[in-house]
Amino acid sequence: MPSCADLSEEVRRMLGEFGVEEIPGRLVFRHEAFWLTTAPEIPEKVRVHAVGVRLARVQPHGLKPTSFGLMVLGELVRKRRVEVSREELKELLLGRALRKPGLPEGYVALCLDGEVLGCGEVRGEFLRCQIPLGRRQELLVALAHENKLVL
Amino acid sequence: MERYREIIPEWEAFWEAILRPLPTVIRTNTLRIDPSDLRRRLERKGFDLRPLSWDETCFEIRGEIPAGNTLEHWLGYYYIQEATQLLPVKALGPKPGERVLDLCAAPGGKTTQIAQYMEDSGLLVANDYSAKRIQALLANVYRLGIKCVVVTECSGEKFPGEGEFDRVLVDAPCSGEGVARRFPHLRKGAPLGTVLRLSDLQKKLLVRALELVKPGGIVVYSTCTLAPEENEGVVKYVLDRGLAELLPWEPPVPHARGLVRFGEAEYGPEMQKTVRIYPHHFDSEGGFIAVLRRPL
Repeated sequence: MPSCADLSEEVRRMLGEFGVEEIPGRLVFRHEAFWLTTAPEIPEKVRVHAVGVRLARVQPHGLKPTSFGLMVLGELVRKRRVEVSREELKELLLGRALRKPGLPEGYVALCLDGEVLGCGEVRGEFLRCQIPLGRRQELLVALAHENKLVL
Repeated sequence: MERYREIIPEWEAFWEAILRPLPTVIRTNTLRIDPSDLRRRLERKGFDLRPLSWDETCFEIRGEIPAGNTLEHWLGYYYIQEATQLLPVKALGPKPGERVLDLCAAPGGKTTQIAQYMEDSGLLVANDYSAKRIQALLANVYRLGIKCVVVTECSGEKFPGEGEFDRVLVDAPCSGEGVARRFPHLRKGAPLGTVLRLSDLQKKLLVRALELVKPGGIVVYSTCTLAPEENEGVVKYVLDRGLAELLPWEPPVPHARGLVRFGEAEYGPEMQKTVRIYPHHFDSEGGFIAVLRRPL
């Protein structure tokens, strides 16, 4: 297991791959994850559930960016952005893989109309959605309602 | 509710309001989007938005689909927050860089509003007593992308520390009579036993909040109930013990002043510094707000 300092450097490298030049806050390592926070300290003697927004989880094969983390970074994410159409997004949210040759291998930021929605993953020529299941359902419902609204 | 007939002005208007559907209000997450941009986006989708006259970041919204089912909501660009519920944080007046505690924070409407006032800088501790309630709090904190918040789990009356915060919000668990427009079963009023049990808890929470705030610091005590035992009665409890002084606060909306007496209980003229909101005042829910300062 790498040290916390090594992991912290790994997070910065990961963010660098996404084109994030300046991290808007500080990184805190807790609960097997890195959190992005502007809080100057963490209260003691009390159970802590979250410190700002979880940015990346430490997994056996390395770091995985979270969807909320990428969403918070938003416009700071300048690389590894993958723009999808509403139809493509619907497919991804339903758990289907999209064939998209030419994308960079690994984790990417899924975008709709230029806005970062969350994490995706490219393996080979296929793009998959890594947004948490509950959030996927909510987005599907929102998109379905919006389709009714489009004039 | 009949026991409030003597204290609620315009009793008929009050009941008419209770029986009307409640307008939906949204608060722009100004950390993520400008209110005018949000308005433009939602109007393009067919919603009708009218800014609140007293807070240009908030809109009354009407549309053919629920306001919670849009891409903008999913992206954390706004929070659906009833108009009266916007007031306690206005009274608290948090500022960037401060240390603020939201003692009873779930589901996070006021927490995320505080973070906006703090411009997402400083320390905002959002606490609640149960892991289940905290799940809703976390979902909202993450969705709105609040970075200055630390979410904690602790019984509010046992939250550790002493004199550590510039401001503390106690939006206390209450019998909820003020939200009877949304929850018809509350229209008959809360059982007195429930009111008194909650009043005991509320006193403990407010006492603890006054210990957690710095000397000279501000504590806002708010509820969404009409029961004087949970409102003026709780504030009087800490005033009688010299734990706080009551500050006057002028809300930007029509309101009534706190009760001087109710039944056999005497709360005193000082209690007129507190604020009561009734549903017919500005077509909202009901509530109570008191601004307190810990003595130096």
